Amino acid sequence: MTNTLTGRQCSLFCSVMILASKLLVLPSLLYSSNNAGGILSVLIIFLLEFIFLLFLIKIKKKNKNISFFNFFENKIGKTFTKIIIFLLFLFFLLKAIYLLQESFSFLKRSLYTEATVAIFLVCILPPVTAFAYKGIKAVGRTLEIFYVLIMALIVVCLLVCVVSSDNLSFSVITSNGFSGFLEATYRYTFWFGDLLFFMYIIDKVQFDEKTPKQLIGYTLFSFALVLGVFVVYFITFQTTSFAHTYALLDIIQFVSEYGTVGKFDIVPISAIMFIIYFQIGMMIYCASDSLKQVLPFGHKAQPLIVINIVLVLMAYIVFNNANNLVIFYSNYLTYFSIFISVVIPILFVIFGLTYKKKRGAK
Amino acid sequence: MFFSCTKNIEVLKQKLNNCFDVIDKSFTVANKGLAILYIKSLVNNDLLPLALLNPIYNAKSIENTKMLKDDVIRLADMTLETEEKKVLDGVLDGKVALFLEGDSTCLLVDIKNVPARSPAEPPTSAVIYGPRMGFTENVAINIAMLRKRLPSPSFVVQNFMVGRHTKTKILVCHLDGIASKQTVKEICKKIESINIDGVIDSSYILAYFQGKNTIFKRAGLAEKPDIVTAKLLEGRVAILVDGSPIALTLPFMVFEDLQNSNDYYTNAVYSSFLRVLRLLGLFIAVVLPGLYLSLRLYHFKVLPLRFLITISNTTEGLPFTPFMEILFILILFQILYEVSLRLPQYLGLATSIVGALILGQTGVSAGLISPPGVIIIAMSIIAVYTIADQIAQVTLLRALFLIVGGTVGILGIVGCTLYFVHYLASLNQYGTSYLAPYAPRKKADLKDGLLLNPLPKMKRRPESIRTNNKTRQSKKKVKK
Repeated sequence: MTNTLTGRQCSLFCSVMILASKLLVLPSLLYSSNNAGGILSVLIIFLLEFIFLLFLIKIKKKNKNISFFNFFENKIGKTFTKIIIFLLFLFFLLKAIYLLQESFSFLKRSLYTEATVAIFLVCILPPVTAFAYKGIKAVGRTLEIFYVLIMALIVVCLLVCVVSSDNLSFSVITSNGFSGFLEATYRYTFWFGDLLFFMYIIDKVQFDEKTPKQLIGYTLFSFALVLGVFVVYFITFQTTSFAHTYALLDIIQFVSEYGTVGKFDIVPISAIMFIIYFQIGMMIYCASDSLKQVLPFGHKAQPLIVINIVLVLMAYIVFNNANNLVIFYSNYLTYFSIFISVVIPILFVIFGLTYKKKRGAK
Repeated sequence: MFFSCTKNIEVLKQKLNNCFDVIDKSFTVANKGLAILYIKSLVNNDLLPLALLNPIYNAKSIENTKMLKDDVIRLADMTLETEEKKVLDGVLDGKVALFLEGDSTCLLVDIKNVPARSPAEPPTSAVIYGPRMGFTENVAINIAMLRKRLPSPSFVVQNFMVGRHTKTKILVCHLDGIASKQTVKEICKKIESINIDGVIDSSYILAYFQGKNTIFKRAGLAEKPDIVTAKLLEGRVAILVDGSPIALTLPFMVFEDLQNSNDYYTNAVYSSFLRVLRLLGLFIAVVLPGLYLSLRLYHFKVLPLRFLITISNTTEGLPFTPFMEILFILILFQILYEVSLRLPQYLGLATSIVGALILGQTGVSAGLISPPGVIIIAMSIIAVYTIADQIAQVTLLRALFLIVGGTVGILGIVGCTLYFVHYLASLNQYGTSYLAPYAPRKKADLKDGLLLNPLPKMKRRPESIRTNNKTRQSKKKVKK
């Protein structure tokens, strides 16, 4: 089976990856940093990501089967490209660690009050490792089966919250001002950069006439969904937003009468459970692939074994210190995140648009 | 073969171990010595004197076996053979071997009559409206049923013989110009490569198409000619095995098992509703016991309060843990299921009474098992029959999901679901994805997906299957 994604599958992935961690902790973090001005941070970053997506489409149209590695190697040589790919590996791995930790905390609060790290890892790691091992084609097909379900669950959460809440106030968004949004954007850059996976696997996506429209459509839909969650979250909890850690769950549990009495909270929990498998799966796939390009592995399972060992070790070190991890990511990884999420995409766009085949190259 | 009749008969009888039903007879007609040899139990004993012996006795002169074939015997299916092995195979296949003194050629006359039951409605493919005739164990009858439905020169049947001892006839059927030649070629190559001592049933052949995967079946199973005809018209290839009433169809998509031939003989809206119900049945059959257990053990907060109170009231004081209780009920039901399959019919009622009333009711009143547990497992077992072709797979998956749900909870069930869907998504056969038409999504094929469109709207053959001709309905009028 050729390991490629169809245009539609790639669009679905773009859509799901955008949801990443934005539906859980990020709204609360942004509110703590800049009150409701956090929405502007999200808007700005989404705008930048959307422009990046347009460039990716243009580059893909221009150079059909050129990989990320080829684009960089063509301009800066093999050694520097390998360094960049290694940095990308670190980014994907850190993102996977963060997603794992956040999912663990979320599920511990919402489902498993006495959950252990071991049980959590036993549930998560085998499927996501299988995703990465078998390649993206099968994962893309799996996502095609579950995409509608995931999106329907999130939309239902939003609708239930809006319909059942009697305390919605838009004034919280406008009254606060947006002065501190730049600092918030800067601090939480790590939580974005979700389309980097597309940049990384650009050669593994089959493009046809419909693909650009699909990519734009599905991505915009996810942007709208995330913004919808942010707006509903802020106008619902208003000044107490910072205290509600898990946005999508809390807008059901603390607002809707169904969420508390009728146990409607299984809806956001299910949505998040499905999303984390796909996101972590894609991150581990990208991390494994990038590690394979940097180090000479004999078998495709070897980088996955290395990554799994790192994830298990990190899980035991950081999973019970969720706050420390957030502080680490928002304080110490800022420059790294900006380099990976801003500088590399800019370089990629430049290299992609100016790419010319070297003489003698196949 | 030898020039002497006696010698030929002697050698062949020896090869056939002088079995009691091997009959030989030597006689002289028109001053020429003749001998016949056949297996009594395989030959039509009414036709033998009428169509074979009478014309020979009445012949004025017989010079050689070719003359016997061309001028004396008035039957269509006759061959001349000189090789001993072919003659032996022919006799074992129910043909009469005829030898002429001084001629080393043997005339094989096909008047076989093997025991076969009449076509009847198969138990697992019953329909309310629509054709009821099912395949039998006789491949000749089965192919006749297909030929009757497809009187077209494009209907191609290729014959293979597999099994060193059983010499089972395997027929590979397809519609020329519709089925992909590459697919047909690959399937034929696969069958030719099988070297086994015997093929008893089509499941033996299926095993060779399974590949590494052992849980999920990789070919469609059909017991009725109307189903096979429909699949051939879609561009698939059918394999009929002598001795088996079940035909295999390739390539196979798992979604085919949610479809039923009855869907196409009734209202499309109603059929769509039934398909959704079958999907729900699949979910109940596979996931429900595990889900119930995980909710009861780990995530009881998720259950509605009144339901939770009912469960806690009925499970209070049970000696087993919830996991052991559900596992116990499941094993009990599976044993009852196995027993009911093999018990004589007149004992069926007694089994139901023992199983449902004594074991179930008494178990509950004795406080060994809880009513919700019995209901959940019973629902799950019954729901399997909404997709009868997947019983084996669903039974295994149910047990697995039960263990996962009971040990790691709902996250494990989600992980397990994703793992298996991902595994199925990675399966491909002759260019067709196992999860087609949903993954990868083929918009045109969704007309015959979970929601069925009326037949006039399905103008093209499935995109998910490699075919040479995609058009099913064209605007051109049919020439009369």
